[in-house]
Amino acid sequence: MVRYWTGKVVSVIVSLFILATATFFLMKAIPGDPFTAEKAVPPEIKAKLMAFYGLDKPVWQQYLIYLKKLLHLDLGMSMKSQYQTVTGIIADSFGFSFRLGIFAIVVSVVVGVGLGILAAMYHRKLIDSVSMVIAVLGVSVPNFVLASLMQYVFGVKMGLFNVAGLNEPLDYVLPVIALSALPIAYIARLTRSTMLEVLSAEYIKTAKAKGLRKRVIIFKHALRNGILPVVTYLGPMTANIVTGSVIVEQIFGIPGLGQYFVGSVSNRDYTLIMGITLFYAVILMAARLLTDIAYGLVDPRIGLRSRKGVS
Amino acid sequence: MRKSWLLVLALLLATGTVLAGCGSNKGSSKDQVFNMNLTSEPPTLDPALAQDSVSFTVLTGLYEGLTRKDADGKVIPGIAEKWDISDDQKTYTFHLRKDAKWSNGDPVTAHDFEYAWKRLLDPDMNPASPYAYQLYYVKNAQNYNIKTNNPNHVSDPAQVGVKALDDYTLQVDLENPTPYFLNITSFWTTFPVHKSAKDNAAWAAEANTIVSNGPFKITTWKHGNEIDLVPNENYYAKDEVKLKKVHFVMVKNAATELQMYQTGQLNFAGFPTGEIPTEQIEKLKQTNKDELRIKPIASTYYYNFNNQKAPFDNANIRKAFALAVDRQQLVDKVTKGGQQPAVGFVPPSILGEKKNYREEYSDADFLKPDVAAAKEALAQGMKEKGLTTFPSVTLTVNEGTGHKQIAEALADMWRKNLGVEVKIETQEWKVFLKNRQSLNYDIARAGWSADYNDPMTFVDMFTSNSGNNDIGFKNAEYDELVKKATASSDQHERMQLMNKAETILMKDNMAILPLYYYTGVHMVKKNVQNIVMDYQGMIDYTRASVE
Amino acid sequence: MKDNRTAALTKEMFKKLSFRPPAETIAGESVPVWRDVLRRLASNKLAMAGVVFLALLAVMAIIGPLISPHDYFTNNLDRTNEPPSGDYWFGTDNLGRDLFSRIWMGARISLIVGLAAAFIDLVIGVIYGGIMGYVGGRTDEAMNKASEILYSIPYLLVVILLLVVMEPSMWTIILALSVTGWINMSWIVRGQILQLKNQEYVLAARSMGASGARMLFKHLIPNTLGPIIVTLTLTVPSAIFSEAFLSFLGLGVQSPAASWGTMINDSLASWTLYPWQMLFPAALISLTMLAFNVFGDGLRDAFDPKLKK
Repeated sequence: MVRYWTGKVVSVIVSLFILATATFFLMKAIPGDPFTAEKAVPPEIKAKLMAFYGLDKPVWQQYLIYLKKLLHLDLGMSMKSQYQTVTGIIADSFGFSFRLGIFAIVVSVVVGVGLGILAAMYHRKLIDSVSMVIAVLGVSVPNFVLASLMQYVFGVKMGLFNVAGLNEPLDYVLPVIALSALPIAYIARLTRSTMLEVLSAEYIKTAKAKGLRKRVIIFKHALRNGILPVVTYLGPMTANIVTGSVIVEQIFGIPGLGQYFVGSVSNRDYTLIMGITLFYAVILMAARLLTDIAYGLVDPRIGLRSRKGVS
Repeated sequence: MRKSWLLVLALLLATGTVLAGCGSNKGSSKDQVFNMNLTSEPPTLDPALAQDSVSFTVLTGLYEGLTRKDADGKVIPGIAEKWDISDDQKTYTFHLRKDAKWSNGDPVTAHDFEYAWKRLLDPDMNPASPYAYQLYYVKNAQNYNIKTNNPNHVSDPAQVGVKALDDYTLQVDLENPTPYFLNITSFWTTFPVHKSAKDNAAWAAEANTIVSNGPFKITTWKHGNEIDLVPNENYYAKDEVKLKKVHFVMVKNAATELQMYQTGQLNFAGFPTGEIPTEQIEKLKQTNKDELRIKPIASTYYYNFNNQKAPFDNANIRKAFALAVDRQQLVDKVTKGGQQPAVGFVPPSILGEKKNYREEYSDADFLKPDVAAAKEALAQGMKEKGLTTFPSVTLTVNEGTGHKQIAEALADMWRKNLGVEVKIETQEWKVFLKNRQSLNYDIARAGWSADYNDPMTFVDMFTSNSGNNDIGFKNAEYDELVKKATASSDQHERMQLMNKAETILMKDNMAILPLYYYTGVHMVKKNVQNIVMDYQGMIDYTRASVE
Repeated sequence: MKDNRTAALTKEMFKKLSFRPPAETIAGESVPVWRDVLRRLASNKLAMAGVVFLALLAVMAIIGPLISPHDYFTNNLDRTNEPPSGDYWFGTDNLGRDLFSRIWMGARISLIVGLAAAFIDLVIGVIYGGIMGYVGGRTDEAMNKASEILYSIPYLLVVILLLVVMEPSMWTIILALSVTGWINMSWIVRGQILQLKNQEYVLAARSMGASGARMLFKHLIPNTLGPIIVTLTLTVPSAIFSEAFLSFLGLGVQSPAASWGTMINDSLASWTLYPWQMLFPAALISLTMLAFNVFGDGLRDAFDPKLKK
């Protein structure tokens, strides 16, 4: 087990290093710099600014300097927001994205799996159709359309919610719905699809033949296998929701990390781009690791160590 | 099983509805709170480093310079209660008021100004002040500020023409007579900075280390989220400040901003830091007639021609494209914000000698849009270039509201009126700027706003060696006229010289394609008084009140 | 002396007989798998409705712009934001352009972008995920990490760079969408394979000496079809929306062309005033997705003999 975890940690560090390298050179390859502006800064002043942020050196030197700082876990200072540290910016804004994301994930899984099971249990009956219609609506309405529809109807017309901000508990309702609509739809369909397969498997037939109650069959026997694809999806979904809510954040005026990420790219705020990228990568890798562990829990045959290969 | 699920869902829905019913909390505007949207985080609140309208909007509340501007844009006393100007107009002596104090109770003195100005001109200031050139009118300021590759570098700060004669007298020596210098002293870059900045480079990044001298002080700065200002009890005119709080939010989406305004979360929306969606303006003109305000501002929307690349290196072809555009239709049907069609470069709200410059020197005969004349010019130009078919050209615009629409409307006009097919390419902002600055385009979108209230802020950008000349326009006569105007202290002569230069740029060469003069479209709730928008479109909320 | 009896036996006297064991005869007509699948699919009315809708859509995408009296790019600034009428069947946009023509021009772009991106995701994702899951061990670990790294590279940087290097066009957008689009699919497939490869029938196939590739493509992947199809039907809309998101940043299709995504985007700030500008593209996206979904479901059922009725 110790060896397993050491291996994991080493591979995460190697991955982060490769990612940092790739992102660094990619980011330097795109035109523009933090000080490109409509009103051109006088060349002498610009030279001084570039020197202050270490951008006057050759790119490979900048890269080595960045890596050295990174080794000390120093993500540096933002080049756009004067004298604000990248760590500070992430700390300030990630809380919003995180809280929103966690709610959205819980709602997605609970509602999605629920709908999927119902649909599978009542395959080709009314409940099946209704849940799948809900699921299809979830996929087919883009979340930014859903968000602005809800904002107008429930916020402006009915006055039930604030149209923007994330200050009161109620402020979470609309953005969470907007964020979870697609995952709900996806999880519901995924669950239905695998549950249908599982329900026709021999061991379920055996269980039925034994006269077990439907509830026991579904939750004790079928769900374990039926939920595996959902577990797989949890990793990317967590990463997607926690990091990819830019448009929903924008529409509901939520000061989350997503907005900073898009902003950092358009501002060419190099240190911030790197910082947020690495931060997101750590989250993604953690989420994927948890997924693997969850696999083992749901299906003991896929133990952590049995992933060494088939033989 | 099925039932318990439904039960849970029903319960969830019920609680949601109940909570929603009692929870809706709309910000009441009766308690003297001014709520507005900054759209994004101000990059800094250090006057020396600020260079964008978001930072400036916050700084307006926090600081006050030597002079202020009243509702009509006229210079009025600020921290300086009066001033003397020498006969050669090159020495200004400011007499500071004695009751001005910083938010921590320290007196505001002439030394604070001297410190602030020399700080931002300091060649070793880090990061360098991007707007330091606002003070280059001051004697030796430029030569002190620029060290590298400058044989005339002045290393001694004492040589810079700003000096505190005593605590309350500030003497400023200028390089040239500068008639608009009192305008400069109300510009954000020239605001004083408290001496505590010396020991803490990061002082302007957090609310608790900012010491300010203006009507308000900052109490909260949640980065990327909100900023709160409350009245500065040490401000000399604190009786004039009626607001109890200024609350800034940072919401990026324009539609959301408007909805926040409509539901009472904001009592100001739109220009300069926000935006009213174009397609909503017409409707708002009917539904919110008393709240929608459209104010002409000193900015011009135009297209760059690449003057060095075929086919737009030919004046007749440039003229053809400019003549073929129906600007009235563009502003009426596409931009819809009450903009004024532009056929010149200097916008109407810029001051001239006695009245506005544009009233004294009309732009009407620079260009008289006319399809027949356009066709003729195109034929003429193509003949001069030896062209039989018009080459494929691209109009490059940056992403963002309205630019694409305007480009599509223009491409359509050129197609219909000239029979020329123009491709449109949208580019990411900084990619676009890089391409434009390196003259890598045929036609490119551009916009320019005034830095100070004088035609010079427009005219000097197309001199051969100007850093902002991204059209490849080089004209010796133009350069000479601008140089003369800079050195002159006679307002009448200056205006004439600048008008001559503008005539060369527009009428003779049509080096750019002007489209319209901007307006600042914004909305203010009926019960909010005394929000003043100046000629640049920046707002002053310091004397506002909520009835 | 030689035995002439032996000499008389020449090679010509022997004929090689092919050995034919007595074969079992199948009473029923032998039906290839694909025909079986098609037959089952055809009997699924809902799925067929989806197919018919998609076919209609394809036809309209081709002829729609031709049957409208107006083209998709000419402005009519005197008739902006008009509601649907006999003249403009779907109304006009903010430059007075015919929304009917624009919708079908948009259908071309959106459908091609969606389908191409989905196809690329499918091919790369299934192969990559299949190998990850089946081979396992170090290979899995390395490929897994590689996909995580790729997934973490800021997408916007990649897109901006691609558009700087390449001519902005629909194909650039498809390429941009595919750079990371397949990763989700590969993870889903990997997860499924990890679960399946320890099952009895796989063990049986392996003990009978099936090769790796045969195992993967004949036994494992067909059994993950359910999740693959579900993921695929979701890839199409997500590609269409991603394209809209790119347009949001000025990186999408170049004007005056429009996709459904950009049309919805343009209507976002004003749909409360001119609802038809959002209604038509949004409804078409939804219907298209619905069609893909029921078709996908039908396909899955048709492939799965266990669900045969």
